[in-house]
Amino acid sequence: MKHPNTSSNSRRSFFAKSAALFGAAALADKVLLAQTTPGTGTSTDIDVLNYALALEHLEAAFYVQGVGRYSAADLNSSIYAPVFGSKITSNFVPYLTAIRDHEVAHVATLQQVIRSLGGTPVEACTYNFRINNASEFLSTAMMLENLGVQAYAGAINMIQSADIKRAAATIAMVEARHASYLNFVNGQLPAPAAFDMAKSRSEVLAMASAFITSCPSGGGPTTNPAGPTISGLSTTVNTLDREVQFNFAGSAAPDGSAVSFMFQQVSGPTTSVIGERTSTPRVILTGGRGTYVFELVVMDGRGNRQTGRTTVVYS
Amino acid sequence: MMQQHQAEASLPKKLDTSPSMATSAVVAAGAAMLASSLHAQNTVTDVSLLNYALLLEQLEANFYTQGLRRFSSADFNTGNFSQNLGNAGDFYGDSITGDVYGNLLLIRNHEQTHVRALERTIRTLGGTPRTNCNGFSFTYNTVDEFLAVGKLLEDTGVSAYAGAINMIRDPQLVTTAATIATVEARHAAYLRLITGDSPFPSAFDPTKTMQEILTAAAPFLGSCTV
Repeated sequence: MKHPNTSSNSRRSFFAKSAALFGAAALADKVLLAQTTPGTGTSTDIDVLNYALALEHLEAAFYVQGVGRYSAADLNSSIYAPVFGSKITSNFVPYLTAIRDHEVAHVATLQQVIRSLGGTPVEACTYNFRINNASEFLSTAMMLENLGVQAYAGAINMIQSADIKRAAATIAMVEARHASYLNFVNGQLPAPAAFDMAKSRSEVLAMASAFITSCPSGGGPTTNPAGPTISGLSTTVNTLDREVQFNFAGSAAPDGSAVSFMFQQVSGPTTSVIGERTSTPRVILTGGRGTYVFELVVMDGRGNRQTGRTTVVYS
Repeated sequence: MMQQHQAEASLPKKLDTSPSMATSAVVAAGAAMLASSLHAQNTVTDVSLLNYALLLEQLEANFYTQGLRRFSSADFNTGNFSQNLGNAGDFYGDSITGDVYGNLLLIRNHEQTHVRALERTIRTLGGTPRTNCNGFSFTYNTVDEFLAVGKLLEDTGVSAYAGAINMIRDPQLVTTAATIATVEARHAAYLRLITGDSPFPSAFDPTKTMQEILTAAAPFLGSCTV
C-alpha cells in the first residue's frame, strides 16, 4: 500500500475531475475487516476508503434491486403516498433513480481512487434486504441513508489526506440529502436534530451486517438476529363501535433497540387510520359495517421486521 | 408554478453575482481581505475556521429568525410552492404545508444551536468568537422568495463546509464540523424538495473556497461586517 500522501498531484487532478470520492453509505463486513488490517494504530486512507466502498456497495445493490422492482404505481400506493400531492408522488421514481445512480457513481469513484492509491477495492457481497413492498423499500432506504451519514461522520477524521477528506465530504453531503428526502417521504422530520450522529465503524458494521447474506471471501456475518416481537395485535377484533383503538406499545426488539411501527389497511371497505406510524394507531371504519383486514409491521433499529395481521369485524 | 420558477430564477443572482459593479468591487475587496486575514501568515487556525463557520451560521440563524417573525404559518399555506405538495395527512399534523412552518422553526433552532456551539468551542480553544449581529439583510416579499433565499443559503453553507473541512486540524473538530455540515445538507435537500427542485442534483456536492463563499454572502451582510 502506498501512503496516501504520495502522488498527491495526480490524485488532486483526479478529484478535480470526479469532484469526489468516498462515502457515506451504509455497510461493511468481515471481508472488509479481513482485507483491511489497520497498520500501526491508525487506519490508512485505503482502509477507510474500503470501509466506505463496502457501504456504497450495499446501498447501490439495495437501489439497483429496488428501483426496478417498484413502479410509480407501487410507490404511489406506499403507506405515506396518499398524503402527498403530485409534486412529491410524481417524483418518487425519478428521485429514487437519481439516488441509485449516485450510489453507483460513488462505488465506481471509490474503486478508482483505491486503485490509484495502490489498494485493492473490496468486492460487493450478496445481500438480503427482506423487502416485500414499496413501503418497506422506502423505510429501509431511509434507515440505510441515515446509517450512511452516521458512518461518514464517524470516519472522516480518520482520513489523513486532505484531498480525500474533502472528497469524502462531498459524498457525505449527498448521503445527507438522500437521508433528508427519505425521512420526508417516510413521514419523518428531514433534519431531526441540530447535529447528526457520528457512529463508529463497529457500530455501523453491526447494523449493516443484518443485510449481508454472504461475501466473496466467505467471511460475511451470518447471524441475522430475530426480529422484534409484536404485542397487542389480536387475530380478530369484533366491534360494535365505528372506531377501534390499538395499542402495540409492548412490542420490543430483542436487542433493546427502539422499534418503529407501520399500520395499514390490507382489505375491506374504506377506513381512516390515525397515527399509523405510532404504537397506538386508531382506525375509523368510515366504510360502515363489514370485515376489514389490517397489517402491522414492527421494525427494529437493525431493519429486522415482524409482520402481523388483524381482522376487524364491525357489526 | 410559473411564479415560483420566476422567483427561483431571479433570486439566485443575489448569491451568484453581486448586485452592482460598485458594490461588487467593494464586496470582492472585502472578501479578499477577510480571506487573507483568515489566512494570516498563511496560517489557517482552527479558531479562524470556526469563526468563518460562525459567520455563516449567524447569517442563517438571522435569516430564519427574521423570516419566521414576518411570515405566519398560514402564509406558508398560501405560497405557490405549496401547490401539489399535499394537504392532508395525520402524521404531519394538520397538513404538509402547515408542517413546513414547523420544519422551518426547527431549522432556525438548529442554526441557533450551531451558533452557540461554535461560540463555545471557539472560547474553549482560547479564541474570541466574532460578535453576533442581527443586521443581516435579505430581500424577499413572499414566502416563495423567502424559501428561494433559504435554499441558496443552505446550499452555500453545504459547499462552504465541504470546502473547509479538510483544513481543520483537531480530529474532534473535524467530526463536529461533519455532523453540522450534514445537517445543513438535510436542510438544503428539504428546501429544494418542497420548492420543486431535486433535493440532490448531483452525486457529489460542490465545494467552495472561503473567498467564493464570502463573496456570495456579501450581499446579505447588511449592517453586519465580516
